[in-house]
Amino acid sequence: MLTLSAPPTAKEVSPMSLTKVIQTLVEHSESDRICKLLYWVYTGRWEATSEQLGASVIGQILPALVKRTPSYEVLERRLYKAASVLNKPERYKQIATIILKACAGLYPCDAAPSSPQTDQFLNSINPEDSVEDALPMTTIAQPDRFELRRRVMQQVPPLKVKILLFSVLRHPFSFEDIDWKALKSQSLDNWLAELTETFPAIDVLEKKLFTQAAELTRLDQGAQIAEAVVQAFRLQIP
Amino acid sequence: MKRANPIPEKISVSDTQTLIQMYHRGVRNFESQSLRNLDLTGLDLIDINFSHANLSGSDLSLSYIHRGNFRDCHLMRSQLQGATLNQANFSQANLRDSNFHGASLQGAILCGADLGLADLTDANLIDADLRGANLCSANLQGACLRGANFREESMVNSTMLQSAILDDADLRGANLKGANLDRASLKKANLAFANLRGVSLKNANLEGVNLEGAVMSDVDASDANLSWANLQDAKLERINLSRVNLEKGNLGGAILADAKLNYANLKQANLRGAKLTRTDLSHACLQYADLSDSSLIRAYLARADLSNADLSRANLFGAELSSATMVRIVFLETTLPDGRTSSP
Repeated sequence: MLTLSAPPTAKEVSPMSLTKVIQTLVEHSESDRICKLLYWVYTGRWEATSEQLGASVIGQILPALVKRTPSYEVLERRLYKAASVLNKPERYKQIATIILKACAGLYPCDAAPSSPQTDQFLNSINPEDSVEDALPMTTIAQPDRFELRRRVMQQVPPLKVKILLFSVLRHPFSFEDIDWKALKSQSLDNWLAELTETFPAIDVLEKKLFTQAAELTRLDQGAQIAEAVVQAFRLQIP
Repeated sequence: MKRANPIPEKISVSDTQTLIQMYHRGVRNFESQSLRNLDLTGLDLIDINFSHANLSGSDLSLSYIHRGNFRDCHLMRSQLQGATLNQANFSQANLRDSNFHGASLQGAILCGADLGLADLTDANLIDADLRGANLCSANLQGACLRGANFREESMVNSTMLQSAILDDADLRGANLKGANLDRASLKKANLAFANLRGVSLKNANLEGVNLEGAVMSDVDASDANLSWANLQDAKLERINLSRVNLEKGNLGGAILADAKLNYANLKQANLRGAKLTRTDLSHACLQYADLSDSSLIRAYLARADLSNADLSRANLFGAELSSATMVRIVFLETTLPDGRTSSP
């Protein structure tokens, strides 16, 4: 069962402003696609028809998504990343922009503490009442980066892990200089962190890794690397 | 099991193809061979013997050389990125300026190896033996060194890590006894429960480092930056922390007996329950520091700034406090230098 255990991180989100954002998105002419994208980002599952989702999904998912997303930048990255892997990436990037514009006010720059009313409001969101049925997948908790890294490294060479993660998060690794530079510019920690941000649902993450591993023929031990990463994440789930 | 050496007396391996063919025929011993600038990328060369060989400039990236013997091997400026080199023997090898980025060196023997300027970012060095290795200016950012051994009994052969980059490195439980880490960068590294006895950390950057429970007796960390460091329950007897920046550092429960903390910046530091017996805190800045329940018996606090510090239940018996700045201090059941207890 999925639990929303992460602490509230969107600062100074008043119930009023969140309600206003939800209303704006529900009434938007693209509300169907907004629903689909939010559902995809949050659950890692794709619903081809909006009828199965219903407009109420926005009201259920958005507060939970905001609660789990530490900053506007992370929300931005999650939405655009999720949009980029869909069949119509450009269309859904526009949808992501609509959501982000609406949510901009929820993430002020200053790090003011969240108000008690906000906490109360966010804590009142009970996933069992709202989206539990739609969220059967196990999600990855905030991992202990040292432990996660050690577990992955003990199974497979770290560079090979980075190649696979690069391929999942950017594009299939070309083994050309330009990709080597981009690969090395980020630490394994950063690649793993971006992976969890982009694919919070472990089942989706697993599928992505194995699919990419199979496609990346120049990388040997692909399946073993995917397995090592998935197992390391699974051990982080309480 | 010792392998028979099927190599004739004077063989010559001039190219990669010859080496591969020989390897497939069962040849494992390439000892003392000149194998410069070979492309061995992605090859499976398990149990190969390259001891005393010259492999300088060769490319062994993504290769699989489990238990390879590279003893006294010349691998200067070689490419070993992403290679699997678990339990390989690199003792006394010249690995200077070589590239081990993301390589797996778990349980590898690197005693006395020259790894100066080597790139070991994101490398797996779990349980590696690095005694007496030269890691000066090496880059170990993000490397996992859990359980690695740097300990060298002889100071002459101490592991050299001067100016090495160890940011975010995992050194939990590593044995670094006697290593030289002067000017090294260890930002946000994890050294919990590591053995750092007798280590030199002069001018090192230890910002945000985790040293919980670490043994740091007789360490020289003068002029180091330890801001936001976690030294909870660390054993710091006789440590030299002169002039260090420990602002907002966590030293709760740490043992600092006979330590030198003169001129240190301990502003807002947590020293709750710390043992500071005979510690030199002269000229130290202890503004807003939490010294509650600490033991400051015979501590030397001349010219220390204790403004707004919390000394509740602290024991200051025999401490030298003359000339210290004592403004707005919290005294609650504090044992004063003359043995009297302040009223609650």
